[in-house]
Amino acid sequence: MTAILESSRIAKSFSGIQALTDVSIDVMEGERVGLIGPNGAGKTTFFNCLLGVLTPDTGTVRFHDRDISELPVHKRAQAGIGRTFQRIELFSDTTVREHLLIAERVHNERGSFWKDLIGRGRPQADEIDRCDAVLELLGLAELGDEPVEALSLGQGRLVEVGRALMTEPSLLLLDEPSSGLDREETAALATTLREIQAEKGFAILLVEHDVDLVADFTERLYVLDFGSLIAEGPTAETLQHPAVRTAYLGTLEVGDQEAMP
Amino acid sequence: MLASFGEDFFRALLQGTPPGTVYALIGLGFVLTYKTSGVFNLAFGAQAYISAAMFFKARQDWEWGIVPALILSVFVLAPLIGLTLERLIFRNLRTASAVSKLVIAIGLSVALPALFELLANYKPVAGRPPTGIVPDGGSVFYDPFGIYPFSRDELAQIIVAVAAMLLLGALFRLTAAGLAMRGVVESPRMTELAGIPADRISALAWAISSMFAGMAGVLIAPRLNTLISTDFLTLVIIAMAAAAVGRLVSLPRALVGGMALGWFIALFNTFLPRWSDDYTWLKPFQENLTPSLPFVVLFGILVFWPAIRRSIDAADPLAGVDPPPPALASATRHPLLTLQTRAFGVVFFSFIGWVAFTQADVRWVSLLTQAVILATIYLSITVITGFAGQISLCQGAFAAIGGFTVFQMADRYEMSVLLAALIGALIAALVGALLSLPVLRIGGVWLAIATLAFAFFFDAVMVKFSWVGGGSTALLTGTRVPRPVLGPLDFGASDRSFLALAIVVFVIVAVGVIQLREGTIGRTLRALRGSEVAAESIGISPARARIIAFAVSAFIAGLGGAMLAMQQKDVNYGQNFTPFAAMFWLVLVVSLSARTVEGAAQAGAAFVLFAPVILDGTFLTWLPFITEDNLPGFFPIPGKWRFVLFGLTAIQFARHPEGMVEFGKRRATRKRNERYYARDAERAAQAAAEAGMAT
Amino acid sequence: MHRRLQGLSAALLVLALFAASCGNSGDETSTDDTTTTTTAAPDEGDPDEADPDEGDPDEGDPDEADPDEGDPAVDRDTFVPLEGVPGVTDDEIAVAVLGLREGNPLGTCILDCYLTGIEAYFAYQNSLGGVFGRELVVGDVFDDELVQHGTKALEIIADEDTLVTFSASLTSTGFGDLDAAGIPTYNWGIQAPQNNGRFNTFPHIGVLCADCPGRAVPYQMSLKGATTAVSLGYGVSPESKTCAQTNATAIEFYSDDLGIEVAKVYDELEFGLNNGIAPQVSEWIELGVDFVASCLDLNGMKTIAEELVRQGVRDQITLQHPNTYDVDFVAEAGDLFDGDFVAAQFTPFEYTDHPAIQLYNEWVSQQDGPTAEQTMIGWMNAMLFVDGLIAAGPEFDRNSIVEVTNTEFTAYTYRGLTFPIDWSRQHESASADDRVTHGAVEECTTLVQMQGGTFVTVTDEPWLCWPQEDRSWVDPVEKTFS
Repeated sequence: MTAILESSRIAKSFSGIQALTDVSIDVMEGERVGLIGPNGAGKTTFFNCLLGVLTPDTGTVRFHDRDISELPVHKRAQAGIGRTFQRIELFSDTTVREHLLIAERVHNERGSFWKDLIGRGRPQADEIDRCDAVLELLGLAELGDEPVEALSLGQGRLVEVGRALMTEPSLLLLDEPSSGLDREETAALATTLREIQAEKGFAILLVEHDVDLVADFTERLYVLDFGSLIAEGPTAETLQHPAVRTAYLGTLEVGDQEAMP
Repeated sequence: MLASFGEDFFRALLQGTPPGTVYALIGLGFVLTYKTSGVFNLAFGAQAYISAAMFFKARQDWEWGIVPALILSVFVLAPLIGLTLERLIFRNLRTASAVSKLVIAIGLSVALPALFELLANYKPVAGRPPTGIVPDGGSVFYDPFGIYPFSRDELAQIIVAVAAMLLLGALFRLTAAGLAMRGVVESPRMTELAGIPADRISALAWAISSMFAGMAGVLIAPRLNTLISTDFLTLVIIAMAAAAVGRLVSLPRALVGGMALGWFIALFNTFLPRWSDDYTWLKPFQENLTPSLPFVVLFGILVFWPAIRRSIDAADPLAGVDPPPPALASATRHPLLTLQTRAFGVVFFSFIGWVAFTQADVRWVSLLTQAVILATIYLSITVITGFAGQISLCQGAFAAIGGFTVFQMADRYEMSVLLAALIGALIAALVGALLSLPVLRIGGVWLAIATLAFAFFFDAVMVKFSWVGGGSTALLTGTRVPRPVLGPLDFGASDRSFLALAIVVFVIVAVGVIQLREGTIGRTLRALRGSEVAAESIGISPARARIIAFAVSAFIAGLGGAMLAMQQKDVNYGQNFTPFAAMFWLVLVVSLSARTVEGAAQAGAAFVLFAPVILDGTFLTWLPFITEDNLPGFFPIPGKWRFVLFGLTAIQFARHPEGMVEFGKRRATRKRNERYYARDAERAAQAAAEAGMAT
Repeated sequence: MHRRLQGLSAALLVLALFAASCGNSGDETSTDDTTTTTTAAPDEGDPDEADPDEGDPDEGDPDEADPDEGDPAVDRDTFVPLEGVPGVTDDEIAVAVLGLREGNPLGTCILDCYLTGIEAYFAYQNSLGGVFGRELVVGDVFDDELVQHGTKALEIIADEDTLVTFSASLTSTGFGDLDAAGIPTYNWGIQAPQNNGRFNTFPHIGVLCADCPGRAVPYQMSLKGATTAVSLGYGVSPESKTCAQTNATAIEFYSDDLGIEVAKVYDELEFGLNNGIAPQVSEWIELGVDFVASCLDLNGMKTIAEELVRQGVRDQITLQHPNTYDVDFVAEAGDLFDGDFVAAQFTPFEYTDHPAIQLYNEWVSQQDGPTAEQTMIGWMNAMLFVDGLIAAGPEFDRNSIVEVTNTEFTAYTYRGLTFPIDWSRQHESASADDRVTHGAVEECTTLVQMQGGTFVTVTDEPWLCWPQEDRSWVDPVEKTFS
């Protein structure tokens, strides 16, 4: 398997606080990789460095064997990295389908100022079809004409995924997708994601808090704590790693459980 | 020579201290208001002016002593105004965007002085200088260094500025109230959850900052020869550089920034004229910077100071709790209702058209034409503010570029004015695109201020260039502009034909704007407006989109400006395109509706026709039994009320940030809309029942 | 808001125009401020003649046959019924007055003071039985609120119920429309560009030349024995800026003759002088400046004077004010302006012996309205109108009034309130290269000085005149016009 994402030795500090130290994370084609860690570990910082929102102090990011460390955010997106957001970021004043149409139009590069002026800027039939196909995949087909403000959080997340999908990414970065969702919704999300991934073949890098989701969904796992990787490897093994348990659960001994209320 | 340089340097510092203190006071006031209310209070100058004028009136007309007058104007009137503003306006705006607050502040900066002058019957009089808070403040001087004397008033200014900075700093850091104030600004919801009464804290904050504004006004007034509100607004704009240095949150930095601005300007005026004598290549800089230095400094700070770029509108963590803004009324409108509305629109405009072309006299034709042309200019605001979500306060400059291009081309090359208008629009577009480059990274309020700085720079420096609004023709006969001639059509012969042309141009631009909105550009901008990060994440380049938006907006403004110049047969820059006009335009359009063509049209009509139709009572004369002679006595309403109403419009915007037009549309048709949808649902249910029964 | 703030630019424009006229007191198109620019009065023939109008061979010259004297050669009483002449009924002739009241950024009294002058002159004329059997009345008064001048002008055109229009404001948008509609527009002529080339508009002192260096400022320097001058103008206003440059040119032109020179030109000052003028004044002290030629407004002059006091050089530097012929303003200032010169645009009020001034005082004092320099402008505008009306004959209309004024009033002096103005030539501006074609016959100026909060005369006779074509230096000839 080829690595589509290779980030090596990413380091970032803010006003004297070292948020990331020597973090290197790779993602192979079609993989599902997870990145977990306690609060404040630096997961979001790392994400932002990958995406170009932040510039790391040192380290490089290579995507499809191309150094994208200098590219601005939107160019990385155009290169094939899609993402969703922890705090949902939808475009207001649009319907679900319109949401996806915007991404589709940006991706197919058919739009231009002059075309707009002569009235050729409106969504075309094939674009609408493509969007509807993705909506179908996500189970949102009936919500196509709903304004995004009317959606539940789970549905909104799916729209974000759909929006990212329209750009035909080869890597999808999911930022705490289960945030705000209950068990059922999380499970449904995981199922949908697995189905779409099977269909489209992109890789997923998942930053998560919900260890169950991670255990269930990802193949490989990286664990961050205080800005450094403390463990990495296949998910099941890594979750058993003592350092990981310590980081999450502290040094609680099994025997102390009865003392807890 | 060196000793002389040092002495000159020091003397310049001393000479720059009095104006610098004024800027420091205003900068402090800005920061204070921002820290305590989250409002970028451009109306600070207006508040300062009102207290200064009240103090002046009490001292001069009523012959009160200094202390009673001071108490009235600074400790009674000022906080009263502040509390009223807080209660009526800003309390409901705490979670509104910073740009909404900016728009309202601009409206208030116009309305408050007008209202005060009407209620207090205050009229500025040339030559009657305001006195300060110290007896003999302007006539007793102290010269501590033996180089440059300071008056008592000036020393009072310095002392108060420094004392205020120290006291207020202590207030914020050391008192519970101060901390609460900062909390309320950052997240009203969170502070409430913590048990702090946000309303009361907010009121206290406004009272304090308003008192400071009043104090600043009374201190600044003796520097002015005639007490007029426009001077305060100009000072506020200049002093924004001071506030920018303080990044709007640091009181000491604002103080130092203001002083530094004064020192810098004094140093500039001391040394640059001499150096440009020796080095003539400096002359153009010296000439052009002297009248525009504060604006250049402001622009420079905004563009180059990295700290500014970090957004100051840090989001309230609980902002997500707010309900999202409602969709455009047209989006949720029942088709039957849409049909009815359109039909009504057609009838209405046909009627207006018939009246305009058959009944109206030269004055009304001219007014209607201006309304149409201004609506065209306002479409530029629809693009940059409505679609791209950016506040641009330099649309006047873009429009002026269009107008001046027509003047120059017609004058120098006898070019057809319609062709010149297109060229002017293109030049404006180029200027807009270039301007957008440095300001792209700064958003929100600071972008607005940067455009304002550019507008003032244009006004102070560029208008008089011989290839803009100066030159020998302009000197001899002004900036006259001929009407277009298109083949057999001479639009100079008939004002009505020019009205028709203006309507055609408006329609073309409106259609273009609608096409853009529904096309890629509009959708891209909508995405950026909704969430810039998300837009970037799907490959939208915010920079590119914004440059296009600025260029298109500037093009439209330039075209409109050219049309206006043709309509008036003169560019009339001072009347049509000043920065103040542009601020006025923005508030009007945003208050009515920045997102729709309708909003722009209504704003154009309101701007031009409000005074002649409403204030002069003309609308009454359209009723059967009323003529000009038997109008009620209070007509014509004095023009100043126009500004008060303008302020009210801006305030209404606070309640309805989607714009009053949208609000009106929704409210007027909501019941009917619901009824139609209900009827549809009924019919569908019935049909389903019948179908069910049939099977 | 935009109305008031546009004052910034508008006022500058105006001021600049003022200032410009000030500097060129020599040319008839003095671009001096409106306050008062006494530019050279072109003398028709003999410079020795005390009254240039007496020897005037022009027929129909209103100065020759004074309609006020009841001269039987001039008919002012015949009544002929007229149809279709706007503003004219069998009993009245109505005029429109358009000016600035609300929103004046200078805080000066314009419209109301102007109106006083017009009404005073009308009262005087009505006391003589009116004109052609009709009373002269002010019909409609329009406040242009600084930005409505064009719109109000259109309203006047549309209303069609006034004969002529009087205008005094800081803006003159709409003059083109009034001119195109053939409506005689008598105005406070500070806006030279708006009057230039328009033959129905009558600025009180003819169209002024924006860049013609004149002799007034050098003369003032020589009066004071000053040698080193600076020239000031606002950068934002092209007129103010040009005026500053023109003043400097004028001083340099006569530097050998008078031993004067320009140390520096400041044509880029910021309007309002927000940052004060301290560094500049310090520089003046270093340069040994003793005279300041200015193209600034009255508020700016006050700021400068106060700074001179502060730096202890008030007595050493004389200021030349283009725009400060404002009695109230100067009174408020006390002795701040002592010794400074002010240019006037008509025979100064201080020449109380002059019959025209006495007539003015007699009638204006009977009016209730406020008075200022604008009142005299109104008086003068009204005078030109009435003289033109009478000269047009009992079957007058707008066109005939303009015609007769532009053909026959070739040496019009407002009964001695100004130097002779040739309305057949002075609807267009002269230029620095050609002073003669559109210039007054002589370059004349009038001066007053400030003393203890009031104005005092400088010379025995109000006008100082120089030859127009020959620009070499000679001493001016003192003249009184009538």
